[in-house]
Amino acid sequence: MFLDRLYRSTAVKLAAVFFGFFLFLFLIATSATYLLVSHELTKTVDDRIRAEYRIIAAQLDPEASDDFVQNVQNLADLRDPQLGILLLTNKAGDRLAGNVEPFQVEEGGSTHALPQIKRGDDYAYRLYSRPVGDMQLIVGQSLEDSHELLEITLVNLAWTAGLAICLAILGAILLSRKVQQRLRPVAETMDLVADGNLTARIPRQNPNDDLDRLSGTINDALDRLKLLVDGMRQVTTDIAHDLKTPLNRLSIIIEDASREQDNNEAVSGKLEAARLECENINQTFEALLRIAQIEASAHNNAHFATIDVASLIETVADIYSDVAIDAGMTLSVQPTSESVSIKGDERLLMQMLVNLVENAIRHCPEDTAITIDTHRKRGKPIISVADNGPGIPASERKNVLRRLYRLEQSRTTSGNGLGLALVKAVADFHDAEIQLMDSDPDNRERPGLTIEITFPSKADQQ
Amino acid sequence: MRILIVEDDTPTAEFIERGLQELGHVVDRVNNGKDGVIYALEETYDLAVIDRMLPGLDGVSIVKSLRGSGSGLPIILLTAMSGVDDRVEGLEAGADDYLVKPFAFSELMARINALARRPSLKAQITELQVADLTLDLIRRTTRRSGQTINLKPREFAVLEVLMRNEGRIVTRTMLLEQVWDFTFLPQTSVVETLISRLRTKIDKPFDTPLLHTVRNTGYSIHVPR
Ligand SMILES: Nc1ncnc2c1ncn2[C@@H]1O[C@H](COP(=O)(O)OP(=O)(O)OP(=O)(O)O)[C@@H](O)[C@H]1O
Ligand SMILES: [Mg+2]
Repeated sequence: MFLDRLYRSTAVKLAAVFFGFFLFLFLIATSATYLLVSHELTKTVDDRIRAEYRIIAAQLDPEASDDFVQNVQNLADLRDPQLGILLLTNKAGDRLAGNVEPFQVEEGGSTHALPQIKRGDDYAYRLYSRPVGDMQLIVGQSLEDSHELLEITLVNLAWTAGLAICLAILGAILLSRKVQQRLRPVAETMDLVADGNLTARIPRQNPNDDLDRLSGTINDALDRLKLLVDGMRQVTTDIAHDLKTPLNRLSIIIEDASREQDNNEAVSGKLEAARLECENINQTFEALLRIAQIEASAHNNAHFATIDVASLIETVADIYSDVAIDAGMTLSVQPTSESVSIKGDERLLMQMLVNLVENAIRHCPEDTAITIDTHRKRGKPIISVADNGPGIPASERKNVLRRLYRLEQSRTTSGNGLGLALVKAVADFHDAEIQLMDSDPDNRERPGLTIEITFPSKADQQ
Repeated sequence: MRILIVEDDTPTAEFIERGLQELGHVVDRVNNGKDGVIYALEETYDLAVIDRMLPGLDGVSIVKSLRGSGSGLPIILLTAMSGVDDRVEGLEAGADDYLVKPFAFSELMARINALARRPSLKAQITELQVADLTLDLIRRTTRRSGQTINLKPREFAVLEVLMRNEGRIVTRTMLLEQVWDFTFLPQTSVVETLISRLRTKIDKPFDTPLLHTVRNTGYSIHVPR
């Protein structure tokens, strides 16, 4: 169980990878060290035997070669052949002086195993053989010491490696333990969420380490999920509630009609009323579906094109100016010299503007002035629709964006409270911000309503 | 006219069938996509009304396969969905019109009538005339009884749609789709306002009214009967 978890732990996998890498580097370094040390040791020995050769060879007086042979023999007698060799031969290879029996060896430096001389198990000697006058002088030194040194180095390296491996494994276990300790609350929270507890949140620990930031992000996502689910519940309830009223009316109308039918009265009026009621219900559904569809296709900007906002606004004003005039209002476009363009879905933006303008026309009294405007603020394109009607109190501004929400004062005007919800959906679809405010905050009677849609700047859109 | 209905929901299909038969049309009715294609290709119809969601082969696929085999049969797609994308997809597949359920029978009728007239329109028409009212489609000018009438572009467009369908009903939704490019119903009297302006210009100054309102449905232009 523990091993299984350990094996699956990301930290352990990471540690294993690093460990492998470390081991590889370590092996390379060890081999390099070994080669370097062994090379250095051989060179030291070589230097020594060559120096010795030169010292001895310098003593040769060609007139008195017998003295020289005697000298060499004296030197050789002082030397233990187990440690160093001295051998002087004639051209035929017979021994003239030395501390070992003659043997064959090539010119110059070489390494030879000389089991006939050496006791123990390391027979290797480093030899240097050069002529001296008409004789051949061989100087040699056992490599046992150097080999011992090398061995010590190797053992040292092995110990270091073993220790490092142990430490790495220990570290990996500790690290994965620690990471698992940190991850467990996340897993537990997600289990709770999966079970339907949308209020569960990951406890925050060390502020500002990466895992904690991740927890924060997950918590934010959970907040949003909860908001959406709550919203959905709210909408479902609202829809059910909102539809009960017209369905009730419909049922009453039909009942009335069938009673009148029994009395042989004409029912065509009642049937027409029923049809209108159905149409109204149908329209509510239509609008709800449309909003849902826009929300569902968020971030699908297949239909996005570059839209000249000024001409879009002109079109809306052109369509609605007569409607406004007939309602006793005025509709005008704020003149602007700026050319404002946004990337967006023209049909959706059109419907958004239509909803805003129609709201002003339907929820404001006669003599209201409606103004549509576009400009840029800090590079961000803004479209706004303003009126000087009754406005929406600050406390209701969040609510009116909800589906099916209408102000008390609008109960008598037709509509189903979906206009601004669609405006919000279209704004969200374009990553735009929507802001409701008073047009004239100083006017208590008629503060008016200004709705501003702020689109992301060109730079943010890319 | 001979009309093919491809619709799997029996009440809807019967509702359309009965309505069309009462108006004197000959109607064939099938309830799945495969039969729909076979009927449409083997028989000769003047028009087909096809539901978008069908068992087997869906409406858009039927339209595509009919158009693929070179059929020019006028087609009206019916659908429960009204999203802009659905509409565009239907029309791009080759349907001639698109109607969202539930619809009033008068709406379907108006669209069938408008479509039935369409072939004759293929010939380039440069001028439309109803009684003494003429529309010059090239110069975009309007005259009645020899008098020039100044129309705004959208008023001209509405009048053009009405006159192309002389004597037939053009519904409010048809006008909204074709002139305003609105695929939603506005909450204010956009169409009515424009029609009343149009009326003041083309009817008021003259003796006989040509532009008529059809209650709960739409408008029609013709010499009063
Ligand atoms: N310009 C405005 N002035 C004053 N109140 C407004 C304005 N626009 C909207 N409201 C208020 O906000 C509420 C919600 O508006 P929304 O557009 O969502 O629904 P609606 O207009 O009532 O119905 P629908 O748009 O679906 O036909 C309205 O009922 C109204 O009370
Ligand atoms: Mg509204």
